[in-house]
Amino acid sequence: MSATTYRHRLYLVLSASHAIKGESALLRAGIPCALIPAPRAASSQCGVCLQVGFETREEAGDVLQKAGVQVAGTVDIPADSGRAGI
Amino acid sequence: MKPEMPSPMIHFHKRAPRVIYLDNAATSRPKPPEVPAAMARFLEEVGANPGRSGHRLSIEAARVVYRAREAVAELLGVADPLRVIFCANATYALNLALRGLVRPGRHVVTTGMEHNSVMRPLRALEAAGTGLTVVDCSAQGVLDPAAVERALRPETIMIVMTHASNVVGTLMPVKEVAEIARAHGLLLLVDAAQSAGALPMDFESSGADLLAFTGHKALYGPTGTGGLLIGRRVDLAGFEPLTRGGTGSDSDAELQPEFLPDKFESGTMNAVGLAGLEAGVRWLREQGVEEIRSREHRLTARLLEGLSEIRGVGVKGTGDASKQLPVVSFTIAGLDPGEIGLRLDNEFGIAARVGLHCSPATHQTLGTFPTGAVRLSLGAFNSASEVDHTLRAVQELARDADNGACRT
Repeated sequence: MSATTYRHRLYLVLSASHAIKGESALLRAGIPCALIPAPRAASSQCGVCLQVGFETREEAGDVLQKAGVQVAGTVDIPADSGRAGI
Repeated sequence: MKPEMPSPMIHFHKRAPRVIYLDNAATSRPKPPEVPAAMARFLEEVGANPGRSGHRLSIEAARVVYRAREAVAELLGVADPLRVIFCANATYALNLALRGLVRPGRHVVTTGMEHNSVMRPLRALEAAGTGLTVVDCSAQGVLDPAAVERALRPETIMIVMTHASNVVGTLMPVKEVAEIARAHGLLLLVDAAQSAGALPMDFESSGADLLAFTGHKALYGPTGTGGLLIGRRVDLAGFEPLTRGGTGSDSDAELQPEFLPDKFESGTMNAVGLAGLEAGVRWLREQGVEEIRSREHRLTARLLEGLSEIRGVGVKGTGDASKQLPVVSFTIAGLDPGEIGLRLDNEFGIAARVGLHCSPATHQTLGTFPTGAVRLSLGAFNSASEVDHTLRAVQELARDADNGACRT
């Protein structure tokens, strides 16, 4: 059985304000990201979440933490999930 | 067939073909052209509800709101844009802070230079069991910070004060009072309705814990915008919102979210207004707050000096442009302020504000209650020639009053 490979990490945030704040911080740090609808199964929060490339997930997490963006959780999206990405 | 409504056309005197707008303390006019352009762009190209949906238009609307938050935070010196709470105006922000934090049995200290946006909620709290002390100011509207300290009691929780008088522009000693508040472990709520945008400001180092601002005066945004800055010393758990409802967050819960800004921003935001506010603040930063302040200071000095030289005119306040915003109030002996305002408008095309300016406490301090005064308030778009035209107009009115030619 082969190990799962991931394409994206989704950062679930408290609100749209936190999402936009996070987007702003990530783009300033040069980390590509996208605001996308949050998977309903993963979040009852603001309806949007921050999607970053899996390879930038840790750097992105640091940037969000430093910016004071409150992250409610993360979801890693497998490469073969079929979800559109950034 | 229904009769046609009368034309809204305004008729001006031949000598004054256009309005000289000296009512910027009520709302700044004109707005920079970028402001209506940003509002139109929002309505035409975005037009969605911010933070309520995951589609691109809603996300873009949320970006617009956040950019306004960032712009205000950068201008007013707030480290975290999410501590900028948007609401309809400074009055709402002041009510939010006062009614959200002050409980019966506690005590609040304020000054004799406050607008009714402070006094009315405070009087309502007083009627419900909160102690209230109004510290007197001098007849020029100057506050002695030591008098504030003397008014404190063991149950005092907050000091509330304006940053600058809406009647005479007097700059109040916020820094000194902030030191007193810190020394006694009290919250300081500042009403910056007139000063936000008119002076360089740094909320984080100001000593204020809460600051109410409006978007449509010296920030050059549209009416219907304003907000409250919330400092880190404020206990959010004990801070009750004025309204509760949908925020687009925590949608599975029937309890209000506790995090900022959602705790205090229920209901659909005024996104089109905030688009305009962001444009106003960006314009202000491009022009430079200090540059505009310097120009307004020169015009205020010119106005104060000219008024003080007119026989029969009594200028209120300190009379020192360096100690005030560009807000000047005066009376003319023998002339009712309402008559002065009407003649300035009809005969000279000058838009001023007369009466009590929603500040009976201030007028009692200045000795102009209940008759009131005439207020001339300058903005970024006023010129020296407009000030000179106004001085000639006041001179003519004062001469008429002196000759007994007025209609009062």
